[in-house]
Amino acid sequence: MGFTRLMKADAELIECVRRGDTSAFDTLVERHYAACLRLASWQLGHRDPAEDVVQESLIRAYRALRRGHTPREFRAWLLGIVVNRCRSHAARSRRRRLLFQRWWASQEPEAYQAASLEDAGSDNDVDPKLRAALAALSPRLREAFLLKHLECLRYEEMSRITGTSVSALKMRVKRATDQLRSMLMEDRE
Amino acid sequence: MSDLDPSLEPWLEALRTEPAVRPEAIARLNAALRAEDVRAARRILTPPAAIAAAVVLIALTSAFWLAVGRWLGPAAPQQLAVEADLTPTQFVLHADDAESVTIVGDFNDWDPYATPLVHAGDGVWTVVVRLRPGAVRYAYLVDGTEWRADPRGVPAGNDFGRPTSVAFIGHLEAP
Repeated sequence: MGFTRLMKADAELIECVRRGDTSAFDTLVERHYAACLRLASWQLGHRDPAEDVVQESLIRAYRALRRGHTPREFRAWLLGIVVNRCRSHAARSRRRRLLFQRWWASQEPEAYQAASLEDAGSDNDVDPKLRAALAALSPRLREAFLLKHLECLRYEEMSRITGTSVSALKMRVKRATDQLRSMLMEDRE
Repeated sequence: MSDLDPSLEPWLEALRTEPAVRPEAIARLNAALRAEDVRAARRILTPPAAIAAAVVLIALTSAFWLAVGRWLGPAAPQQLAVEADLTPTQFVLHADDAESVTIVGDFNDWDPYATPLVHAGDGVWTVVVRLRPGAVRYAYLVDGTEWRADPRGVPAGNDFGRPTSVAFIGHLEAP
């Protein structure tokens, strides 16, 4: 019942935002910011870009609501925006990384070598083994695993927000789970 | 809810912990949202101003599309819609001995050739870029080889081994 009430409250807040009550969106932010940040942090591997992505996602959501868009399930819809922004951010980061690497390797090969080894630095206190295991997954596998087991979305919801079929998502979650089990349990076996 | 392998559940507990929300991040977000409100309010004009604006807009649009139709082709309308939301932002770097300076950032896909700065004299290089609201990472490339963060900008971390800066477009101030 609590879940139902929460969804209704989101719908009411969305209606308020559409009518121009901007403070209603602050309540939605308060309610969903941490979950968005958690998803983006794990998907991107670092907190700073995750904060940027969440901000960008929330601004896009705000614009869409002000334009009159009415998402059926706000949380899943918002997480979908976060997923898309994470993808865009990752693509930009890849381009930036390649550019940095190309220029830096040509200018200071020794410094480049040393820093490359430290690239997998962490910015929170989560077990490094878990962080490394998640980082080792491909972005698509990680995304599917996080949406399923971190955000507990249904496969149908995941399909809507990722544009991927349910069967493909199930396969990705299974592969991610197998890989994580293999990496995390190897010392115990 | 979750059909996860039980052996992974302890690991998932750590994942599910919600991160602490930084007040400065919320302040930054709120500033960006209020900037959105201001932008939206600017779009709402009083009736006389709206009529005047409409007349001017129709005249300008007609002239523009006549030119666009000749030179640019069908992709231009989308371009125009996107540009309405862009904020002109000036970047300035002091680099006395530089032969050339370019800026690389999220807005130009980190293309080292896309956005050269112009030498304004006395070692001052400058360019104006139209940017979308939000956080934008960037750095300067001096003489095609030397990376520089903006000495007067907000540091954006060092995630790929080189310092970058971040600009917050549409915000009143950086955190």
